[in-house]
Amino acid sequence: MKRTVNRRLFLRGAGSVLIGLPLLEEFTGSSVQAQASAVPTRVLTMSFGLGISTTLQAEGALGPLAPLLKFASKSAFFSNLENTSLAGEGGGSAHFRVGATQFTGVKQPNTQQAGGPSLEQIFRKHLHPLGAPTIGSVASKSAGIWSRTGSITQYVRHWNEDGSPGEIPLRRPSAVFQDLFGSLKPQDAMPPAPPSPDPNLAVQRKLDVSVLDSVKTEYDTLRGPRSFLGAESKARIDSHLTAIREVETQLLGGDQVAAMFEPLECKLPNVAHYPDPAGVTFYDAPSGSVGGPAVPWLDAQQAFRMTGDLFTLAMSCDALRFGSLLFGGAGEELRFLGNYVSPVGTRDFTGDTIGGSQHDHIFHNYDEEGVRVYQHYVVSQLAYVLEKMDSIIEPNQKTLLDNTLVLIGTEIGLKHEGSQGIFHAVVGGDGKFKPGQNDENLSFADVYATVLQAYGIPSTIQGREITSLLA
Amino acid sequence: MKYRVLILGLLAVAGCAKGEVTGSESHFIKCGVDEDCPEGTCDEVRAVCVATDAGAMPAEITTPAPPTGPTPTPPPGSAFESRAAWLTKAQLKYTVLDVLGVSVDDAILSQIPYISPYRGYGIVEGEQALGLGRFAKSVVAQVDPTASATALAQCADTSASCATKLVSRLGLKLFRRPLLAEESARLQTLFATLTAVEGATFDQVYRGLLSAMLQSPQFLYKLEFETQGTPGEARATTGFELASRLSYFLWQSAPDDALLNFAAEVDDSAGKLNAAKLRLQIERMMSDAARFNRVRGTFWADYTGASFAAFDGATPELAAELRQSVVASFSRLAGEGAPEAPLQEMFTTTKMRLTPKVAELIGLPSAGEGLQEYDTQALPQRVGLLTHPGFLAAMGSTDFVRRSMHLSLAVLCREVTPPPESNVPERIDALGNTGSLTPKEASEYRFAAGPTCIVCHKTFEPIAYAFEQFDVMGVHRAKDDMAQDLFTSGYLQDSGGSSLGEYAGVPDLMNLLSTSEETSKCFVRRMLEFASGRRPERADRADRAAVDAAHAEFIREGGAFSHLVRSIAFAPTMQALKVSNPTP
Repeated sequence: MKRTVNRRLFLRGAGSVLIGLPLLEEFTGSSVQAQASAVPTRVLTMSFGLGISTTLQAEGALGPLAPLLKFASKSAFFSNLENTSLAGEGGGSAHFRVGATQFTGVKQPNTQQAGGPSLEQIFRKHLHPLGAPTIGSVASKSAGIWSRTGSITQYVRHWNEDGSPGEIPLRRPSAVFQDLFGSLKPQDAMPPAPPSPDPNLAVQRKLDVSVLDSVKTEYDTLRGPRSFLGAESKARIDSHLTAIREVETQLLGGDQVAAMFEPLECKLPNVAHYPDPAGVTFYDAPSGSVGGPAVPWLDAQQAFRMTGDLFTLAMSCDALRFGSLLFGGAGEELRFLGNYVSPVGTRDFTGDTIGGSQHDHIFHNYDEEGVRVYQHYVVSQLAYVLEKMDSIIEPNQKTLLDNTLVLIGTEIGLKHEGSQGIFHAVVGGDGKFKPGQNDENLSFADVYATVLQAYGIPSTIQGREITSLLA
Repeated sequence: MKYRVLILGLLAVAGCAKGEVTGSESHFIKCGVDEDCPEGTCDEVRAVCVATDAGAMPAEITTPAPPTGPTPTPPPGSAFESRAAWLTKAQLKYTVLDVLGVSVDDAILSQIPYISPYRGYGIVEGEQALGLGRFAKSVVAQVDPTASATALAQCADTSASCATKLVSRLGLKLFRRPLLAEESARLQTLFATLTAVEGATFDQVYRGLLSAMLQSPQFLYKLEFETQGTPGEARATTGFELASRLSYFLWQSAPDDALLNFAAEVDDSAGKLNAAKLRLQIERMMSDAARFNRVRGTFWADYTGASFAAFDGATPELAAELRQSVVASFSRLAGEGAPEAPLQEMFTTTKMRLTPKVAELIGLPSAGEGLQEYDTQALPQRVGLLTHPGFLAAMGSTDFVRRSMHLSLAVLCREVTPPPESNVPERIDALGNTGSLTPKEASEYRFAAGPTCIVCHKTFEPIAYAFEQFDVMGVHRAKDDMAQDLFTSGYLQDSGGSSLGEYAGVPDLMNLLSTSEETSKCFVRRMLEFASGRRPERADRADRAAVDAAHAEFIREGGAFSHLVRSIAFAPTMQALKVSNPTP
């Protein structure tokens, strides 16, 4: 179905002064609430596979969760969730069983479905029972990087009201682009003769481009043959230049300066800036139950971050309110390649893929150093999206992240088996949750029930409402 | 003169009794030392002592030419290959404060990754590059372009002559050395390009130039001319390299005009270092209380781990107060607002600076708002600053392995090597079966798990036993949740497994640590790492020599913080580097 453009869609966001336009397009049950709060209720689930042991969770800034710590003041971290009572049905490994209860909190009746709807769908159904929240937006979207298709519960995180699987997560950034923005026409997207909020903006943009070009030249010269630096220093400079270019191509979506100097704007993005990274070879090739394709970690990162950028842009511009992102399914078998350097350790992932996957070599053998670095890489990808969301100031002067309920979860806890000691986090959430570390033994259902309670949304999840978690 | 005495002392400590010291106090001299040197102790002391008359500082700074010509003879001794080290958050903050008068908001600084010598220098990732871009943006937004340009170059217009002056002056200040010709040309081209943008004002052009420089690697990294000279050989640092090293060590900031003038003098005299003038500079910097206090704050924040600890379980307010009070307590011992004391008293003092919340946490009544001095004599287990709740909470765990690894690295400078094989059966077994045990039970389980575990764990774990009565927030309790007594006895071994003594509780352990040479040498190692951005290697002969020499000086002078700083500031390793191979 071709979607028409919600005029408000591309006028709002990023603190635009044009938010006062009538909300005539709002046609669902929550429109009154949306008007009152100026920002809509949005829910994003983010999951990753293979879990983090409680020991590694406790490492803080020195461990795999380090990338999330910058959001500690707006996050409730859970280190010790258990799912024993919920995960007893359905058969298969803990990956499969717990995967089915992640974000549902309901026991799985059989291997082909979950026991109930996923959390973001409960919100969507309650707030927007007719479907898409606004004209021009999508009802929800699911996307990510994953390969293993042994059980549907490994990779689906969108579960319908009856527990049947919802959208299979998209893997191509171009497909995500198409679904979120593809039917919008540029001429529709832009308001007629839009006045620039700052008459100096065009001039400033030109200046910024020149500045950035000059900076890159300095880095390029210092890593080149005429540099006065030795090999190790050159490598550091080279890495920094790569990071700057990465910011340009991924964060800025091809615009050389915008995100470096300005908040994200609600203008129709250019599809050419979101090509599918060629290093990801498994877009259309499910891997089955065992084994997994190899992918350079940088390519997987690039693909995921493009998708994260698109989700962020869409949420900021009210083209998306409910979504799920996946970086690695439950029991993921992807084989990441390349040398990954991080503040918590360095690992040549390539060496962990001979005769198996990192899942086999690192997690099953419980190579703690390997888990630390591997999951730091994974968590960094989720943190990237949070960072992006946190950089966008919304009309209520809070960030998109502050205004969005983000649930982060995984399926495995203590020792790469079983259903205890599982990590979750609630980030943002309109300030409804007390930030801090929660080590008490709670179940998935307890956390989800409490989240729904915080938003006043009725639920059938059989969990305790833990009021001490609420702000 | 004191510095000469210092060198003679170094020679004596190094066992170089037959070393010959020649010269007078008014000339550059060298000391030859070739005999009776214990292995690895003499290299760094050979021919270092220098003495000369002190000259007056030029009042006006002049921009010298970029370094050219023959490489000066290095002071022999420890010379290491230089590495591009990133300016830390504190160094970025203080540099723009001192050079541009700009205070950067904490929210902006929080987007810059924490870089600590404790973990070595990392590399920049995508989001971090963005954070640095925002840092530059924030700084230039606060600058008054006309006032800033006029103060720097006595002009504030877009003419070519003003551009030349501005590029040169900003380069000297922000890149900490005269610009190379090509660097100068590039920045002047940028200035011209910005000026040519239709509608661009001088303010925008100046901010653009400044923004480019603040994002340049020459600003963000401490870069040295690593390949200048004969590869593999040592050379003396240039005057500007030395000035930058000293300034980022002693002030956590860029060199001021006086130090830049000193640097220019060194380079103008073909690298000859006037030791008296160097001494004057170091003493001048250390006597600037406001800026030198930055060293106390940043060093102890690194030493204690407070700078990067998450303080899990604490509210944001309590976490901030734990961080503040532990750094203040260590800084007090180091002479901030109090007479400095030998650093070994760190293990035995009962004086702590605490905020009301932190005092309450350990069971002391509040002595008033803000940081106040407390005596913990009434708390028998609260002896020494390692029992400060901020230090304990910074470890983030009650697990013996984590606590002992933290203490081994921070206080003893011992690297705990990871298990040789990650899939050793005993390790898998221990990991799988200790989750529900108390720390003591888990420790005993590991010891019984087999020879692979016991070799290392028995050496490093017992230092943490003394702290079992402190929970993760550093609160003391005698019994665990099951009302069972928590034990505090243990023993200390050296890294080779030899006994250093047994202890019955915290006070006993602190006595052992306070008399340990390993802990006092660790101060030197940590300070050397803090100053150079490079961790000394125990296996490296030159590193050992550098540490031993500085340690001898540190102890001889009295073992206080200022002695520790001087032992590094005057160390030969600060004045030399080993030339790297050029690479394509």
